[in-house]
Amino acid sequence: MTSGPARFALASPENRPLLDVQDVGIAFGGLKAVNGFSLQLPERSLYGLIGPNGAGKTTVFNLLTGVYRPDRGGIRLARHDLTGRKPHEITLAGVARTFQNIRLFGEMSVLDNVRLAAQLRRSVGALSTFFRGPRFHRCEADLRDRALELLDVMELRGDADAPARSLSYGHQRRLEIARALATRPKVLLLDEPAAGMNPQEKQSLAKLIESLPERFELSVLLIDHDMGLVMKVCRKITVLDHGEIIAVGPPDRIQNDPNVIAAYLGEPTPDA
Amino acid sequence: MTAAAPSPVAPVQDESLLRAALKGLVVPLCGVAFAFGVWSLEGRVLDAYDTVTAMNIGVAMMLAVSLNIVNGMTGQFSIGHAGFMALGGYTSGMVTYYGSLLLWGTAARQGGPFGAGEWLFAASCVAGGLVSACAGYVVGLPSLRLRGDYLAIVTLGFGEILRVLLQQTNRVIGSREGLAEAKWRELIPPPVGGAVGFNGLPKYTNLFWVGLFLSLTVIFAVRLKRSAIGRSMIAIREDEIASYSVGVNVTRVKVRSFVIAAFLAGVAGGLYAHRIGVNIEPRDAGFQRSFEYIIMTVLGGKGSVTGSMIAASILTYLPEWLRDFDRYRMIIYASLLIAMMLLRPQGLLGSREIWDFLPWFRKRRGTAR
Ligand SMILES: Nc1ncnc2c1ncn2[C@@H]1O[C@H](COP(=O)(O)OP(=O)(O)O)[C@@H](O)[C@H]1O
Ligand SMILES: [Mg+2]
Repeated sequence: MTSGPARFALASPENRPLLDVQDVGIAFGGLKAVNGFSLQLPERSLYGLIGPNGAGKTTVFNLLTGVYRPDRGGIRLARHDLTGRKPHEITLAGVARTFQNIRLFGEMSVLDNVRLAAQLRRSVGALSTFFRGPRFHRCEADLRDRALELLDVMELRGDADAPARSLSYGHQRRLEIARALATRPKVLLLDEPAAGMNPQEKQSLAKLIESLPERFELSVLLIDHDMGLVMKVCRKITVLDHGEIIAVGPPDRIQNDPNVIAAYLGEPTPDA
Repeated sequence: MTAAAPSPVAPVQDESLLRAALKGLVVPLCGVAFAFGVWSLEGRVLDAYDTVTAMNIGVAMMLAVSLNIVNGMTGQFSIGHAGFMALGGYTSGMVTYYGSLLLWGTAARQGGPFGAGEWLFAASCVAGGLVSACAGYVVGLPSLRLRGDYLAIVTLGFGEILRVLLQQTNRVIGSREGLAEAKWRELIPPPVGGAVGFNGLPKYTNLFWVGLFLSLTVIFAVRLKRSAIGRSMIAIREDEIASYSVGVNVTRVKVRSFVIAAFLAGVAGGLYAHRIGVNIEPRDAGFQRSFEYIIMTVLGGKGSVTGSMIAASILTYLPEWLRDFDRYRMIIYASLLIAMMLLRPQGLLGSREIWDFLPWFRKRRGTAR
């Protein structure tokens, strides 16, 4: 926070990353859940974030989306400074996410879950809501078309009218992705999207995630416990342990990194 | 319209848009027709006693439906709804009473149906709604940052403070001369009758005006539920964190729902204040009355407009009907409530509307719309 602009001035405009996270940290009581986390996410990239349980991965997402305010450090998305902004402003700026513990609007229909997210930059006043003029209907029809398109992509169209809570686990995870995409994000944060899926579902999910950057012109930051999935999908990976980064690099290097292996085996790292 | 065919999605035709937009106006006009309809029953099918009961039910429905926007749709627990009703009622009463004194030199009724007096009254109801809406904003803005119990306490406080303040108001001034000669301290706090209530209001409320404002309220609530604003309200009820993660400005939507509900309650207050057989009193702002409306929304089902209407009519009519049982009345009333909540804890209709139970309608209301 102290030297915000100066810090970012170092990066030249051409190769400035889409999402630039510099040295963020947060502590809960005495526990440093995330400590000195940095990340440069290029445009249209697939990036992995892994680490053992409790490493602080979800907390990083909560920091990036404004659920928690970082104690220190800065977050930038292209030209916007997102540090300390409210969650809905961050979504508006172009960061969307899914949740590890699924958070759908259970009573709302599948279609409405997505339509709600799609209405982000469309506003209709209370009077227009009462009179329902042509503008109201055009807006609703646009939202509906956009939502149905995304449901097609996620192969959820058949469930459009069902309440979200009635979907199977795998479908709920896909609906979360559809909902996040509906906000037209530049950065999509996926928190364990494959959790609870069977191998077949995982495979089609992997294919889907790989297609996202080109199709929706965005970058994906992926958390998952399935190493196979992350290694297959991501070009670059950051590994967290006890809130700190212990390795950064392409999948093949991460796989053979002794620190990473040690962290996953639960043994203390040599320098800890 | 479009079948559940795979992509690409067929665009909605402009013709159907135009038809939908026309429907946007036709439905409120049906509301006006409804108002004339119920008004024509007055004195024919309904005797004077029935008419009063019908007006009570209509006003209660408005309050239950409006409270349901905050408590049911948005999921915020407000227990100060009667405060907004009373504020609207007192405001509207001041407009008609002192307006009549200034315009015509008397607070008595002016003109027949749709005469000058009735229009002043209709405008006063809207004025009551607007003042209530402002209060809703002032109460809502700081308190909606709070959650659950704290919000409930603030709204409770609003109603109770209003009740006490209304008890401290000045005597009603009876004539134009009195008004002209009144000193400042007779006008501030406003001369609305103190603890005895606001006497002498012209009794303009009839089934036409109740029917009109009720149908507009109901149409608005139903349309709100199926709109962008309504979706963000329901989303907040379902999951606040998920709603801001998809870009819902949670504070703004909460305040908005509060303001809308307060406005509608204020209008209902105007109808209440000008009804035959009652004086609006400070007690009407208190939490006992707020509680009646909360019971209606809970019984009707969270976010169900028609559900809270049914509950409002049952709970308004029930005490009348139980009058024959006299001293067991409250016991029967309470037992019925307990039984209802045990049998249907989600409320009469859950979060659905009465037409959602008709298969034909359900099909039509699918993805196509
Ligand atoms: N709101 C909170 N309050 C206190 N501790 C928290 C909070 N959120 C996360 N933590 C702690 O931070 C650590 C990291 O959690 P998390 O980010 O959920 O890990 P994971 O990498 O499994 O997603 C855990 O020890 C967790 O208990
Ligand atoms: Mg996690």
